[in-house]
Amino acid sequence: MVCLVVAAVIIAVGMYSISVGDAPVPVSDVIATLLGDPTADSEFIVGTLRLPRALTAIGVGAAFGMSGAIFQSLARNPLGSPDIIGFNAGAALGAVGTIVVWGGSSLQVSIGALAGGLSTALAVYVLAWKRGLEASRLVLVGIGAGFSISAVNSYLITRADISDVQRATVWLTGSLNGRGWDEVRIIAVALAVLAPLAIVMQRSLDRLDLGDDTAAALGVRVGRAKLGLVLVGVGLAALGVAAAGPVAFVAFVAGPLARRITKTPGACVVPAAFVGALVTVTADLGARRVLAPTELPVGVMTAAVGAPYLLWLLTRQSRTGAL
Amino acid sequence: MVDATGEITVPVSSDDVLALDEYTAVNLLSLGVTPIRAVNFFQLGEVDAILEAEGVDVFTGAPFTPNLEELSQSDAALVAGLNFPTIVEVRDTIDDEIAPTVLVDFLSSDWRAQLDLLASVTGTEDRLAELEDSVDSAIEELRDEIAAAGLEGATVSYLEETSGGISLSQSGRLAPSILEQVGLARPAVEQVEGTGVISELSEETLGDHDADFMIVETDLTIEPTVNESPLRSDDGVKVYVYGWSEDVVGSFRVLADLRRIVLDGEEPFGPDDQLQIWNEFVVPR
Amino acid sequence: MRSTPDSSIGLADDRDDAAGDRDSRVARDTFVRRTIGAIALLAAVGLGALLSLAVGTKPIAWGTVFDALASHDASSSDHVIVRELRLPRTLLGVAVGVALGAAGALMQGVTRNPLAGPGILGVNAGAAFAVVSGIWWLGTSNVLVLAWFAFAGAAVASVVVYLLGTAGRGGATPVRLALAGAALSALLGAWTSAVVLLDQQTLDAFRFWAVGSLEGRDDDVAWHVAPIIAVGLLLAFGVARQLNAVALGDDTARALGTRIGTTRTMSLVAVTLLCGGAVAVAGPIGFVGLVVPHVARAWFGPDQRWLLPTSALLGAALLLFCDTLGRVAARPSEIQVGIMTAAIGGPAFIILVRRARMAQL
Repeated sequence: MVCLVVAAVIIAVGMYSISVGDAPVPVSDVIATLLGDPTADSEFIVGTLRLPRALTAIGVGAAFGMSGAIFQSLARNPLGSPDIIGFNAGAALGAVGTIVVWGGSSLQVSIGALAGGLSTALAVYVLAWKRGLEASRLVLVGIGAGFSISAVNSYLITRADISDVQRATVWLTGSLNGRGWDEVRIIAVALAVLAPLAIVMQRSLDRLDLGDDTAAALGVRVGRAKLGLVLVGVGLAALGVAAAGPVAFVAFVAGPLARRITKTPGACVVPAAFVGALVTVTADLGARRVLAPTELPVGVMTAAVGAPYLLWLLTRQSRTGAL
Repeated sequence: MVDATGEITVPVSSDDVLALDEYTAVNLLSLGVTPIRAVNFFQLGEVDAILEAEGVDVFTGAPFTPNLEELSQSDAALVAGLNFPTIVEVRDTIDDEIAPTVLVDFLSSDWRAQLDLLASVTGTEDRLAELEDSVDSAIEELRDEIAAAGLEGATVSYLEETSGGISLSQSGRLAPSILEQVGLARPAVEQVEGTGVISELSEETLGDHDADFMIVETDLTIEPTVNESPLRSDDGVKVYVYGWSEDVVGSFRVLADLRRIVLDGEEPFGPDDQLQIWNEFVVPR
Repeated sequence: MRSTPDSSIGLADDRDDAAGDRDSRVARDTFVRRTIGAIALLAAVGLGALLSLAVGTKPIAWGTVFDALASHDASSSDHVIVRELRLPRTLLGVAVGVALGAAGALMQGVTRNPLAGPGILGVNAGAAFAVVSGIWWLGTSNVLVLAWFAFAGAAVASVVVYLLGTAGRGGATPVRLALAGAALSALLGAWTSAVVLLDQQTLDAFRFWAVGSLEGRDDDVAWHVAPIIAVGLLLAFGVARQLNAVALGDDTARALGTRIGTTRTMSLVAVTLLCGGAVAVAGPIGFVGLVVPHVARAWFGPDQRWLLPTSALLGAALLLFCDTLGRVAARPSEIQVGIMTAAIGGPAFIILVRRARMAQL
């Protein structure tokens, strides 16, 4: 129910976002274009530039929101994220490397980020595996890997031309600028495949929330369920990163916000998707217009809004420190 | 014709040209073509004064991002730019929606080749020939005067200092090749083949860079310290220079500064003198 | 874990006697092991300092190095290099390494969290934002000016984190401190990104500061920061014993008579001074504070009275070796120490994690 309301808000914000810009397009024209009857002006601006960007924003927000909700629930910690296995660091290296060393296009950068992130996560997993996978060893190896990779990144950033550094910094902040139908396709595939999986696994997630033993008693194959959830979570985050770079905070706030709005405990994967989408599309609108005609990357807006929210949450915490 | 992206077909036009970045705009201006609009793309502030003085309509959006919405509003007959990655990936869109597009090689340090391409699409080959003659004769003139003053073979150390530290330009770059052409020599350790830059040089090696004239190129973001280092010899002239860029304006600037430093024993031009160089040497008479 | 045998409580009982013997044997072995380790660390720091003076981008003979230190000849460029470039740099490396190592041990003790590094208080993020603001606002890259900005930023950030961590009911639990630090770091990181993305020249200057380097820092900066680090160290050693109690858990610590609030506050002040001083001089070097205490703990145990000084020494040794290596790895260029420590330390840490049983707190 709440999801439908949020969906309606998303559509409203999206339409508004598509209509504003340096070349304003009246909302009626926007609707007309969407229905297949474009005017000469609006076809390019709406069809080629703004519509795919809005769709990417929605898709990426949904992917990050779901991924964040899954990891926070798995880790039973509001700071849970795919970061721990070094995924973000590897993706950053892949993207920065592609920009600085190859001077790649956006699509090549996305591929580089994806390759870097997944291979780092895999390497960390392999390095941490020694007659079994111990959680503390995984975390420590992840830290070591994260630092090594950041050293290479720092080296590249200090040796590169300033224009490459700028491009890399923009990517690292998370940006929807210039995102077109290619990125929409990437994120649509991700959602089409992984979102249903996430929804199906929601039940296992709720049961795991009660504790490993209780979950096992309720019939959950704990090891396999966790692995599956991790894979889905990483997959969603990975494709979100490939489409827009690591947009800060969406994964972090979507889950808690969704829980607050729907007033249900537990992971709330689907509401988190909607909340994430709304946050991202609103942040993108802000990023485009606040300092017009200069555009900020969307990651700056999400962090500018998300971090104060987190700080506010902290001042209202209960004794146990639960969010 | 062939540009940085391959075969293209563009009309020859010197009116209604849209410049996708500020350096292309300056290149066009030096050929006598005033673009109807220029995008402040790299936003390093190096040529702002020139664009303002020439009255070019500059649009500043997000750096390194061609703002297609904005560009589609202009009535251009020809679009010129550099083959920077974020431009290359939207090149076809610009070509289809706005106007035929020509992209110049961004990484080339040969300003003559860059201007050559722009001259052929704007029909200003004559003007380019004038510019090249101008530079060539200035080089010859300086070489003769240096030889006449008995300074041929004098050593000149050329380093750069930025917030990233000390860098060394290899011999194929603009300033080193001009130094060679006017008969000045760099210390042995600086004679490195190539067109790149070796960065983050250690201060410990400064002693190897002693010369009759010690030139350090720097910019306004830092307070330069290289010439004050205790490892720099005190015999020899130590100066800081600005704006020795890899283009035609830079060429004139290098020559003017060298004249002042080597022949006249004066201070080189200051950081705000870019416009003066432009007006004196480059603007078509 | 007891570090001294408590034979005064022992009853005249055979089993107790045997247990007492075993305890004293274990305690003696531990003491020997720790002493050997401490001597080895001191030697490592000494060796690191020596190498830092003698090895660099310009090859200088050992004899010349000693001459430069003993009887300085100002006209010899080699002597100038040793005296005016490498000596201050070595001292700075020791100071920064000691500060970061000790701060890391402190943080992990106070938060009872082995993933805590000094950056968790938002210190690095605060310093970075202050530096970026300084570069943008004043248009300067002057090391001394930026050092003060960095220190101010670090101090303000840690105060804010502390206040946030103690706001509301419950006081400053480790979890809340960690969350507050992470949140503030993220916020400041976003603002920092915004500033550098709006101004190219700021980005150009900032990216070099952000890597962490000991190059080009002259004497002024060192003299300004040395007292700050010294005070921080004194505070840290002063609070080491209480930290041991806090590590056992809040309730146990209270039962043992420890003033938890005071201990925590003093520790955080010490971390701010140490970390703030280090980042002000050298920029953010993240690896040392986080990983060095783990390695020290694996050999010396969790007793803060041993852990603090040995983490400090290990940090100094690591920084000196990495700085020296950075000067020769890419002649005639230098690689900054921040890059080298992470590049070497990261894989070394992973190897260590795989081989040894990294003791939990």
